[in-house]
Amino acid sequence: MRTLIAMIKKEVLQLKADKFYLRFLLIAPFLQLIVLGFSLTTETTNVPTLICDLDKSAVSREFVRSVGTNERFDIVGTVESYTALDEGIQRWQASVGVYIPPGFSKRLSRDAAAEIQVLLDAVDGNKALTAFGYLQQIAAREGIRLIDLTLQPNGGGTRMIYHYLFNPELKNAAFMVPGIVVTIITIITLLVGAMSLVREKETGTLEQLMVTPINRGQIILGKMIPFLVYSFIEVAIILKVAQWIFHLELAGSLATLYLGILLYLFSTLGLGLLISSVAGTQQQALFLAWFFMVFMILLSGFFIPIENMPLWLQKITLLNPLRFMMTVVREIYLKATPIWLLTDQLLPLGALGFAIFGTAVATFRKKSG
Amino acid sequence: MGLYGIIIKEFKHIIRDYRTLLILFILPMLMMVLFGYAMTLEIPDIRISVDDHDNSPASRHLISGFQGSNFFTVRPARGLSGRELFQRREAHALLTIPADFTATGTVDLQIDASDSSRALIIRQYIGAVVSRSGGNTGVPAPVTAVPAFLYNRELESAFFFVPGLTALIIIMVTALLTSLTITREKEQGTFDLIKLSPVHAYEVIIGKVVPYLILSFLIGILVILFGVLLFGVPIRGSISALLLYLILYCLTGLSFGILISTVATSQQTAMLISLIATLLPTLFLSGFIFQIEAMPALLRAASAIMPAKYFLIIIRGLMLKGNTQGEILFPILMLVGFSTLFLLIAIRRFKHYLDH
Repeated sequence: MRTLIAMIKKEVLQLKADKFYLRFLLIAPFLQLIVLGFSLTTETTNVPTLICDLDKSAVSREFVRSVGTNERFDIVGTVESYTALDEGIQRWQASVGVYIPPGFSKRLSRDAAAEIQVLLDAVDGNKALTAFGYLQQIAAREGIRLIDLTLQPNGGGTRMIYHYLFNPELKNAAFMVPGIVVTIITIITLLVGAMSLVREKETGTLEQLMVTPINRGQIILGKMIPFLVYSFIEVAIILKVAQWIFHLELAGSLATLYLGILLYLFSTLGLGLLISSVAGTQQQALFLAWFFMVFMILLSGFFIPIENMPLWLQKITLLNPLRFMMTVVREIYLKATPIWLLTDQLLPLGALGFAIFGTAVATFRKKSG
Repeated sequence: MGLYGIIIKEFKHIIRDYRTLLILFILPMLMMVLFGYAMTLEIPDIRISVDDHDNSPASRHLISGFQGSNFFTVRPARGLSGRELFQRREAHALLTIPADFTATGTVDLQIDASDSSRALIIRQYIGAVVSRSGGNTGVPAPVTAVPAFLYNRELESAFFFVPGLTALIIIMVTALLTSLTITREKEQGTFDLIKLSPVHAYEVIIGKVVPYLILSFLIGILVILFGVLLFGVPIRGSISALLLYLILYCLTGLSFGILISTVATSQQTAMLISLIATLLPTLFLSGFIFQIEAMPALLRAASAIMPAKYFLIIIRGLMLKGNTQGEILFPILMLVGFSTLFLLIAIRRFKHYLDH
């Protein structure tokens, strides 16, 4: 026990010695939280929009006004021809062009059927499709209003009353912040885990450690425990900061969350350790860690929903501990899901952690002879 | 001659570390395949639970509207509340049809809004089915919008992420790798040996940069080729211009890498700085995945100083839009400005470091 404490002390001292590094470890999570919390929005708003209104009637102007006042669109200019609209998109001035042909208002009042054309920069297909969807809605709604056609109120139609559970204001950050918390933990523990042993290998201090009476289990524990503690504190702080900045509260139990994180850390720190024993240099370790990190984050459902992936890819995600951790943190953070409804996530999380950590320890034993 | 020697030495370093090299070439390919399959357009599969208290022809007609659509999977609610259903992750939405539905025509919908954008889509889809079943379709929309999807008619997601991935991978190779190799020499003390030898600061830098320039350029070409051949992403503009700006962007990343190495004292620090200053911003603030216009003003301003943002406009413009260089002059100038600035500061700081 005393050797273990000495080992932990050594690790902490080493951490403290590199001021720059330490500062980064402390500050980076906040920067990430702020940047990601605000930028990670999958919403489409303020799409730069060009208008070409060749109808120039009161009705068409009214239509343009309703596009302009919609938060989804940001009118950046008006042009006088269809080609100019096309050119504006080509030159990156706008990603949407709305073309109102001459005779629009006449057709609307005469036939109750008029068309507008929408040019969309489909380089980002998703955004183009969403923007078009919003425009279609505006067209349908405004069309009815402009033509002064009133639908029979409640005339046989079905009325739908809807409630948004767990996130009534539909805050995007509410979905992203818990994801960011575990992503940050993944990045830091995996990278730091991967660098720790290999660094000692590269500088030759690992051999020195090996000849001391400390055993390998203690070396591993000594390396892991500081980051276990760090992660726990970090989570608490990030949750607090999220409360200040995004006004989000942890809805569920902190203890369950910590249990999930503990299980998860076996996976990340274990994977880091594994990388550390396989890699020859810090550079290799770093790139290997990156390799795993990218896949874990990509296939976790963090910003690409797993349900949207093809089936074979969904099966691969079952090997990803972050996938389960992501569900756990989101469920607890937003929905206060009790622990017994999370066993289907926590069990695989623990099993993966056990398997990865076991492999890592076995590999380290073998490699260090 | 000293320059030539350093370049050869650096090349040997790169080739000897075949594992890093392997990762550098395999990672982009794998990422591309994964992105290609994972980033599909949203085809909703909405799991809706229905709690029918009315059990009348009208309510059954409403439910059949969901069963007939392939966007929905309908399940009975089994008496569970919305909260319970959502916590069990069994349903995305709970539709309650009250006993007086036939009389009032009112239904109640609860949506799991933990994912806000999904919740919005779900409401739209369910709302469409509900109003259709109510017979509200009598009036056709007087104004219809006709779309023209430019540059990417099939809305292929590969068109979007191949250029982005190129930008990301190049930054990864250039900034991260260069900063690591230089700090490594610092850490191991081999730099002190170079200081003693009669080489100039610029020779050391150029000697370091050239091999990585070639390496990152090759990887960039490989990613683009992969995207063109596997996912059919077009190159509509000038290929020579594309290659030219690829080199320019590599140079920007490399000079940033050198800059980092003059600040960092250990490989660990270098890694963290490149992570925070280049990789993550490239991923999140460049417009690679997340739309810049939708961000708050502060982040929009931050994205304006991201070289990746400008490179993305250039590469997307040249590949997808068939832009001429005149049409993307501003991003080109910005990128030129960034590389010159970074390179000048890097050489200055590096010289300072070598002299002391």
